[in-house]
Amino acid sequence: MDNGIYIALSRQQALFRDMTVSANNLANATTSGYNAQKLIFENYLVKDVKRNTAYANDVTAYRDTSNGSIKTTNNPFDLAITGPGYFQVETPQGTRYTKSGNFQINAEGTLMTTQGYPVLGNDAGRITIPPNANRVVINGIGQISVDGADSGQVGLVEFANEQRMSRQGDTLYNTAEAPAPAQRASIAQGAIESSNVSAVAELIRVQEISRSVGSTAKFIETMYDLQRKVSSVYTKASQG
Amino acid sequence: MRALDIAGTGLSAQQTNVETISQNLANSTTTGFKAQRPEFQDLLYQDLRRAGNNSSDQGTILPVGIQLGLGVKTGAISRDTGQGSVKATENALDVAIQGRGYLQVQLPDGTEAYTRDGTLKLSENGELVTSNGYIVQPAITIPDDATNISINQSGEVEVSIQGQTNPTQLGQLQLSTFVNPNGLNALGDNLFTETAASGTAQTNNPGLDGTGTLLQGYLENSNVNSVTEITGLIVAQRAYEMNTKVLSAVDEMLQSLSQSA
Repeated sequence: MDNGIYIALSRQQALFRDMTVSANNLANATTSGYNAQKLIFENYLVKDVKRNTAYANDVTAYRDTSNGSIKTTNNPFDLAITGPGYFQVETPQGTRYTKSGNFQINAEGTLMTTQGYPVLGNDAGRITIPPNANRVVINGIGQISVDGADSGQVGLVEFANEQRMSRQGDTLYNTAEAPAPAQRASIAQGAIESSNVSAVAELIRVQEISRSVGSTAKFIETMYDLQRKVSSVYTKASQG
Repeated sequence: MRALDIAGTGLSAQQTNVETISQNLANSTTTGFKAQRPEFQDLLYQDLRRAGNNSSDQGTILPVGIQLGLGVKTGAISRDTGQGSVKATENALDVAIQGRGYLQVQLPDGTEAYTRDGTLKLSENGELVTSNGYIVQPAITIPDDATNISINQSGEVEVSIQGQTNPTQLGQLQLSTFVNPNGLNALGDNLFTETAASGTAQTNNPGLDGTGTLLQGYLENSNVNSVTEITGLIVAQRAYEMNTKVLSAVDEMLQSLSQSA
């Protein structure tokens, strides 16, 4: 009898976590380079003498690594990646990876993320744009030419298992896996990769979760009603 | 309930987005104005299950974990420092800057500010000033009997003075450039001051070292692209709506919980 309520409770908890994930996806619907996150549920089986009881369990979250749409900005330091690739960023905690290419240059001409972390080149060094540059061209494989002169190359890396990467906030990722030079990705200059959150799908999911919570609550209520009825029947029977 | 707070961060991010867009649209006819753009970033994550943890004593590991994100924040509002189009005004004291340079002006407190707004005027002493009356550096004084003010693309100011056959050169306007013009601090009134992020101003004659050239009788329009802004406004409004949808859905969820049992 009690199992029913506990199973419903496990489902409620999982649904609330799922809602958190959808809310985060929607909050980041306009965050450049953001990848949508999805929870996967699994039945968690508990061996019971008479039958198997299945609890809801959110076993894992995976990242939708597909490309978001490309939005042109005409800022020469905005770089969008098409294909599975990441920029390398030097942070105080070590090298991190990002898909968000809204870069700036600082007072010394170093290419930076908006948080002020230097962007690394394919030689793992920082990238410096000479002062008074008139025309900065960054081609598909990241080679930078400043007024026709070669000025380094933006590093683009890929990973065998993108799902192993953990999110650090600030659209940065960390992973224990060693990066390999990107083979299938290319860079578009003067553009930014939008978030790949599908607004329609997320909204439908939000409604679905909300309804599921309602129906599960209804189910718990019915279970309680049953218990109350049973106890009143027993009480009457014992009095009778 | 995390989802409520997350939707709240989404709402405030989209509000910033709409505020930036309305600032751009309000200044779409401001001389020398540069469009701004907010850049959003995801907030930190809570690890409910860490990828790579052992999932059994047989050495199997979790291939992926569960990280719950906590919303969004505005990482930066950057400025598009690209060139605006120029429009002809036929006014001899209007100059448009073509290139990366800024005109240097002296603020009343003696510090330097920089502007792209070339609507120059004359002060009561004949000095070249901005619309706010701030003196353009280096100071150039136009005598009151001067006619035919000419400013060439290198910034040389020449006038004809009655009784003289050759034009008289009064001085040369200069332009300042910054390594990172995006890092300038906006003061309002089309003025900027330098910061540690922008680097110090490199002042030079127009046309040298990538400063850009001057164009007399023209003004630089703002570089706000109204089509982009309106599209951005629609996106921001829809994104705002979606976050309110999350709020109401969570509200319903909590309501159904509190009503049951």
